[in-house]
Amino acid sequence: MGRRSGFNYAVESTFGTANTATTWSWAGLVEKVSDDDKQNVQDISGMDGSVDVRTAHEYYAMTPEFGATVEGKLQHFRFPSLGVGSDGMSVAGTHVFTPGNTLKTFDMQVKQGHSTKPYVRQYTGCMVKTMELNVSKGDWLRFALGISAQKLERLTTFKGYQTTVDSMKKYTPTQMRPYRGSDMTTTLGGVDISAELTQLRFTIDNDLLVDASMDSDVGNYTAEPIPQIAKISAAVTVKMKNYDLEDLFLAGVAVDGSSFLWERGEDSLEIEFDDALINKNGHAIDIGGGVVVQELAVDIPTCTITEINSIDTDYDIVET
Amino acid sequence: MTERRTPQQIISDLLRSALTDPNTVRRALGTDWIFPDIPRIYDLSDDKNNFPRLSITSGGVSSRGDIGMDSTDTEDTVSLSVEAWAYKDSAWSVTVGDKDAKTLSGNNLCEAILQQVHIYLRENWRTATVPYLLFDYVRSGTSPYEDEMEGTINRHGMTITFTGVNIGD
Repeated sequence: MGRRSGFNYAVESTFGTANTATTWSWAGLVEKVSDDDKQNVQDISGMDGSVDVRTAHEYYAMTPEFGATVEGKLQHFRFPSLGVGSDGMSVAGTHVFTPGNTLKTFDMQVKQGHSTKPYVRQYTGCMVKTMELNVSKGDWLRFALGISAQKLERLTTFKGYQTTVDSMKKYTPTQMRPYRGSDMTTTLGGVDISAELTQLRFTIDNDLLVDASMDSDVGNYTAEPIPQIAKISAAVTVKMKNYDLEDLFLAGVAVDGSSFLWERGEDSLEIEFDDALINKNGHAIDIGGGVVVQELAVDIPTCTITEINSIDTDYDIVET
Repeated sequence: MTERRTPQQIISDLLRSALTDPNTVRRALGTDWIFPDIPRIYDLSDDKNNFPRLSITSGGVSSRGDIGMDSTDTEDTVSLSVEAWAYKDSAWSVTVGDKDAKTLSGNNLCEAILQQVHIYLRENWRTATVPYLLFDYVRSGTSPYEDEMEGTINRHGMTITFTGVNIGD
């Protein structure tokens, strides 16, 4: 990880077929790529009318499911937006995260080593299983993506980054300032509750159904994953002066129009939960002076993230 | 291209534009009282109106590794020493936060000026330091009061830290 490593991605037009563009998109400041995980695809004998299931089972016993987890200090939402069914980019910088059943598939390349003789791992047929947005006070905004890939290949050529399209090219931290958790306002139902947010963890689980393929066209690999019923949830840790949140939990009130805002000069980021319900109330710890620290688990039908970044560009995911 | 400025110069410039010089005589002349270096107190102590002064000096920068793939940028932390210097028996009126103005001298004046600096940075670092990528202002400690020039000059300091990207470039 560092100067000699690289990470890019491109949306696929056909599942499992690498995008042919000569350069791909920059994903942001990606910090770490985990080990690849190869899993056995187990029993499919429950399939009706599958006479040759036993054979198929044995044949597919070693069908690989590549898993890559990408943890990034991303500077914008383009790459994480692949993790939701629809990111309603009706307004530039406004992302509406609503679970959907059509996820885009994409390719990734990870480069390591010498600049002219790199070792490149290329993942095709990728789909986001889980996306986690995490921000703590005094730390970078981070995304962690759990990704299912159909195929992993070793190459010697890295595609490099797009240099002309604003929403895809590479930026320095000075050009596109990363988000940092600070100066947060918390409102519940449109009312500022004067709470200090210490951590927000926001998760989308697409609940991918990843099965072995019975289709010889794709070889001994998985078929295109099918998103099941996705779930958006969040864990919010706040420091506040009273027990308002606990009262909301007890009353079973839907936390509509609740937002968590970071601001730094001209940059700001607002995360708004719509019709969210506090489903679990962590034990409130009284830290003195009438101030309590409390963690809340929240179920969220829809989340709207509005960002005003130093680079005003539309990050909608388009195939290039 | 822009001129390179050190973190202590950036913070000095910021405080110069934000804080009012308590010394009304010097203020009338329009000369600076905040500097990104240690004052030459042996020369300056000839004239009480050279005080109070603020000095901002670097306490060191530390870097963590590259912040991302294909990146040579580093996440850095800079520590700055902010010191207030005051003449022991030269009193000036100073306002801290939303409290009433108070006339102070010596150590008390030093303490009040440092608190002014702290309040300003605490409230304004998010917007005031935007062009410089300095994040997360923290007052990490204050130092004991000290005397210089056989007790005629009092000194009180605090250490502040910022996190940022490529600090010092």
